[in-house]
Amino acid sequence: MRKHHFRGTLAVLSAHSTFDSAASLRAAANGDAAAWRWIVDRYSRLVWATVRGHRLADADAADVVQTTWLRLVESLGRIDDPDRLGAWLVTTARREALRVIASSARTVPTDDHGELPDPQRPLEHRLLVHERDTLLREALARLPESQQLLLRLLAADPPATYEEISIALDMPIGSIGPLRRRYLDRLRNELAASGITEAQ
Amino acid sequence: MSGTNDPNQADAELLGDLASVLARTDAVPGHVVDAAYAAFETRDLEAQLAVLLRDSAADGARELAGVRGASTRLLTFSVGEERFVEVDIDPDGERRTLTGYVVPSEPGELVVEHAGGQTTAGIDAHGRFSAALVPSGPVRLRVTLPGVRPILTEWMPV
Repeated sequence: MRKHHFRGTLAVLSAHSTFDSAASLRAAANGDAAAWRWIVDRYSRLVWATVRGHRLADADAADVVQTTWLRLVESLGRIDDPDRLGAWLVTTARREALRVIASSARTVPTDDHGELPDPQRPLEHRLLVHERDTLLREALARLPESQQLLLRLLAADPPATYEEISIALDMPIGSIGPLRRRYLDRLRNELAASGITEAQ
Repeated sequence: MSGTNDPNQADAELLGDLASVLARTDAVPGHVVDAAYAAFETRDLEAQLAVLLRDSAADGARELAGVRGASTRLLTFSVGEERFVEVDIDPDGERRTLTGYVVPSEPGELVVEHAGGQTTAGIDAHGRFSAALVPSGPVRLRVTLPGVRPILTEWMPV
């Protein structure tokens, strides 16, 4: 009985993402604030990754993210394909990021998003992790913007699906795998150039 | 990062490293998530939506404005084909002055909704309005005219 229940849970989990997005959108459109929180919790890292992929300064990044959520609220009940909420959010965030870049003199491109060490960790460990983190982030920042964006979407939690990327970035789904490999190679080369090799 | 000759595994490991670094060092700031939760409170079922028709910043008009030495940005919103809201965005540091008019011209009330709350201004008999000291960031305009459902523009970062 217990085992059976477990299998049932797995089946639900595998259908989880699309089912819950559409159902949550419907519930939120009917005023369910808990459903709205579920949507934010599910997608806020993906939206953040999209905006960060455009090298906006912190304040602009926050504005673009908020504009994306406000636009979703004003579009509740009018989303054409609720199963593709992730693609809708990435598309909207990207369009708003490009708009802010086009319209704003206050945008200061930045590659260095402030990072604070975790005071709970021993100092020595912190320094090593800190240095590796910094090198990897610097390597990422040296990639062209379109490459950073794809890698950030794939590295989000949960990652963007190929379908979401295909819609939002307007590229054939079959090109994403090869691009992923190429951009990761590029990232690897940048890391090697900064003295970090993978076999260490 | 263990050494491996399998390119698929090497890619998965590098992407995993990247995911973990970004999760640790570039997490979504708490205030950004809180603002996203709060965005739900802006839901409005009564108003009619005025959609963006034109953004001078996006269509090259900005270069022309630059020639004139101005830095104003012009946004045009419309409700259907009969009612328009035109807004000039004049930046001053982190503040914006929003001036514009509604077509057809009618007196009424304007409320600019923004991250800091609301800024209220009158709409005169010629349909003109002006709202100063609006904080930068996403804003929308709520236009109240006699005899029509309130009009809400799309959210726009200014």
